Amino acid sequence: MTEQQPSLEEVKQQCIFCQIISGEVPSKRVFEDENFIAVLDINPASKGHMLVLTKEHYSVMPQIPENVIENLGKVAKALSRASLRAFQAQGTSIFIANGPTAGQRAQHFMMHIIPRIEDDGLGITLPEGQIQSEVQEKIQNAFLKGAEQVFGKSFEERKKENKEENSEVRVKEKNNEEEASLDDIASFLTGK
Amino acid sequence: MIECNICGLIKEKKGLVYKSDKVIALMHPKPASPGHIIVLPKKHHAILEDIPDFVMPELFSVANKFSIIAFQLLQSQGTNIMIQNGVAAGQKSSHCMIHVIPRKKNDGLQLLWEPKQASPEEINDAEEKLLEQTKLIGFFEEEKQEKVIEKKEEETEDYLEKELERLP
Repeated sequence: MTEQQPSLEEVKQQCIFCQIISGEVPSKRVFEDENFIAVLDINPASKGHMLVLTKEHYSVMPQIPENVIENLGKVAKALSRASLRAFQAQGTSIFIANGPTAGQRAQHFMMHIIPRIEDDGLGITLPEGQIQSEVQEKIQNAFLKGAEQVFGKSFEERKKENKEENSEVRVKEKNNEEEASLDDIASFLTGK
Repeated sequence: MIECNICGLIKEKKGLVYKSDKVIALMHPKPASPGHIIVLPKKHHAILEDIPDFVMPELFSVANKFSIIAFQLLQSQGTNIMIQNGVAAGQKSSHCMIHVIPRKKNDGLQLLWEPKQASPEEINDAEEKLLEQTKLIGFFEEEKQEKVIEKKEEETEDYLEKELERLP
């Protein structure tokens, strides 16, 4: 192995957002608490577009500890309200991209808060798709199964709903080359 | 009053994948991509600002966990987590929700915006206006009141009963 994965320290040193957090790179800081800072995006979608950054370096959201995610929820609401009031906005778009496929461009986790005004033409709209009910059910069963692992088995409702399909749901597709693990995505972002 | 279509879905439990006393997650009936999940407060709240502070942590935690499940079980190559807060932001239902959208390469979804060049005046003005608002952040509403009051009432009842019993 010639190419070693960079250490967290090395990643931090190269990460422009870690430099913004440390103050090495100037920014317009509009909020700070224990876990996060919010800065103005220098290339905003609209006036007042904020980036909420974790003070610690995380490439993607799944790496962030639970208590920090919980605080992110509170901060999202508080900053959205601040944004509505500051700009008399009619709405906010709150947007997180995990992985380059989802449109993530930086190697540091961030949540966008974008003030919106009717017919501002920004896009960021979600199309409504159609799906066959059998496919939808298959995915639902996969999620129920995953939820059991991730949340524990304490939710009776889910267990009940999940009971009939104990006969092993095939969630994994065959083509393993397509498989993208979190580590792959994280190392892609950190430029392994 | 027009019935909220999402409250309807919650009642029907259609596409239910998570349920607690405050938060529900459902399969989006018209998914932007396969595996599109919506995470929402069980009680009807129209916009983010109406949702009590103490519900926000669980909403985000559940959304994050379904994003993790999408990575691990659905072989998603990315996820988007987004809130369309208000009609101006594209909100289609009157029930505020978090979208978790699993992504695959070339899935044809275009969710990003066109970045603009902001003038220094605009940036400075935005900074000033936001700072005025964000300095007020710090107090988050906690869940408690109802239960505490209930307990107190019980206690006083007990107390009164005991007092009555003590009467000769």
